[in-house]
Amino acid sequence: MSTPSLRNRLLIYMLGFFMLTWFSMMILSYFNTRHEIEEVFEARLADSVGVLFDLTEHVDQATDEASDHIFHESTLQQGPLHAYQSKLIFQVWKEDTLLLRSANTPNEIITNITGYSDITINEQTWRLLAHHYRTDKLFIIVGEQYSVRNELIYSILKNVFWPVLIALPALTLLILFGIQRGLLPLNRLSGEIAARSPTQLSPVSTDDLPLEITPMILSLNVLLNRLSYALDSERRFTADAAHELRTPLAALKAQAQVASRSDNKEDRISAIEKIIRGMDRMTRLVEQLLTLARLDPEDAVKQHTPIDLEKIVESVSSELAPDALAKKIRFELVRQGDCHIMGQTTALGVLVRNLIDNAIRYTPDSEQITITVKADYGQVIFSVCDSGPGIPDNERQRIFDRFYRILGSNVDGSGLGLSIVKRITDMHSATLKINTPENGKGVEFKVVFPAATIS
Amino acid sequence: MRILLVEDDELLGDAIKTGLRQEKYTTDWVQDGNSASLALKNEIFDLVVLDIGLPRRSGLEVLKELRDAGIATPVLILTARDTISDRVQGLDTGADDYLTKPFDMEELVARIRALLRRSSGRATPLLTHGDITLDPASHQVVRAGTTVELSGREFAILQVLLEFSGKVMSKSRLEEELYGWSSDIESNTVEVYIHHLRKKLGSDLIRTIRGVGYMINKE
Repeated sequence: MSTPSLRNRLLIYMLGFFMLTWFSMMILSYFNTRHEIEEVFEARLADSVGVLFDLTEHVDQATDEASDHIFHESTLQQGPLHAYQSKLIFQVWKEDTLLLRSANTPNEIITNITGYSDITINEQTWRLLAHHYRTDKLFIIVGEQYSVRNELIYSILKNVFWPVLIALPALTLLILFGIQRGLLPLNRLSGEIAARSPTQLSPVSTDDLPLEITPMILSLNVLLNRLSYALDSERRFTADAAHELRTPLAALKAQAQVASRSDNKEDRISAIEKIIRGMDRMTRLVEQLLTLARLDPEDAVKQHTPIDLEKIVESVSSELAPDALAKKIRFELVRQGDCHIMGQTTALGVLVRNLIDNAIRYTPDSEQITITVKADYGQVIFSVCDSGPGIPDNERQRIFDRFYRILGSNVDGSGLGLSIVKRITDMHSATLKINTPENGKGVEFKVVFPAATIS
Repeated sequence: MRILLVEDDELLGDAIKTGLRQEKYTTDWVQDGNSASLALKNEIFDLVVLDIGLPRRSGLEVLKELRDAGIATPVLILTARDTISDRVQGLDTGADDYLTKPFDMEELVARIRALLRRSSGRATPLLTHGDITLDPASHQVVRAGTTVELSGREFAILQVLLEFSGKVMSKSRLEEELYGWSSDIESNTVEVYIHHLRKKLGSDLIRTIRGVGYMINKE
């Protein structure tokens, strides 16, 4: 069975449990029946002993003859009057004299044991009851063949067993039919889902659905919703990205053609230098695109671990500090308190790097950059404060849009850095603020994370 | 011929400007929609190369404003958007031609030439006047079957005067055609180039309208 079938499983379980219950009941009935039948037969043996005693006493008193009171075989060998008629044997002894015996009984005493006992004569097992009547010195033994009671038990059980066995196939068919009917809503549902096109990601209707399937469909709808969102953003992003790649490509091509057509060496060299610059810019753009693509929405759900933000800031700062020093920028890192937050190391590294890298790019030579990472009443604050041209108020909303670049900044950028920062901030349930520093120069990016709860 | 280039991308704008300079066009370059509107309101251009995705004000808005003001300057749209609806929208707003990025400089220059030719009402690519023929594509001037050597600026002045034959071109207009917004305008240069042109092509070709400017008679 390669694909587990709900129908088969239900069928197997139902039939299995049914058979198990039925068998247990059979076994129980067997023991009950046997017990009851044994009781009845034992009681009958006792009755027989009593009857024989009365009879013997009566005969004794009537005839007072002690010899040859043998029952004639003819009465007992006429064949049974009824199928269940007992195959009885008996002996009546007075002291050492055999007063009475059944025809199929030997002349020797068959048991000495008073009460119930078993004996085998001619490979047949008999149940015996012997009783000693002290006052009359009578010893009466009555026996009955076991096979009689066994036959009865077997017959009773057989009559219970066969009808059920015959009903079993019919029962299987009925159960199958019931399961089929019961699973009908599932078939309807699978039909509805199968009829969908791959782009049709609207939620599946939960009207008229059985209680048991509704949670499954609700989860499916949540998944569809997420999928549809991811697909939309993917589509938008691909369109945006392809669109944005065209302009730098056009620039490279135009510059290359200018260089190839120019008969002026100076123009040619200048164009080639611009081509190289353009290629650096495109490389960065592609790298940022990849970073953004890797931060897929599902990452937000991934397990976050406690991370020391201070360590990340420190390592990124030490990596980027040479760039700042090359521009003679005064580069300062302020740290304070325990800066553990819940997050993802790689993503946080990208966030820190983008903000510091931006600050270095936009800060003029010999100016100042201050980076702060500190704990503050259940929050961890990371801020980068530069002395660049600043960001006009009316542009602050738009700088997080993909590919948005501030006009005339004269700094090569992909227009993606801040949208990446925004995305990572959202992933970490942090807030991102843009402030103007107190001295009114440059801009401060401030990210406020919830601190990791120390358990 | 003076062209207004509206393109926000630094490298692309620089390349187009240099490419057009190689073709002896005077190019003025602005990087956002507002500056483009301002330039078009105040100055005369023979053609506009217009990007659509511009900061501050979209290229389409600039175009609409230009057409609403009744200015018929040919406009070539240069854009990364290439869906049919984008093109239709651009052309319906009043653009004369449409080129998607990335493009070929050759093609851009050829389309510019075609637009300039059509805007001056000519069907042939060549400008002719009497026995003088000017080929804007090859930058050649032929007089009575022999090629006349002209410097870039002499060629540019001759081309403008021929393009607008029958109209008086003021000295400042000619200066704009030559230099655009570059600051290194030498005084009296227009007079110097006119003088050279007269020496090479005959003194009766270009007429001086005193106090107004220069013109070539319409044939």
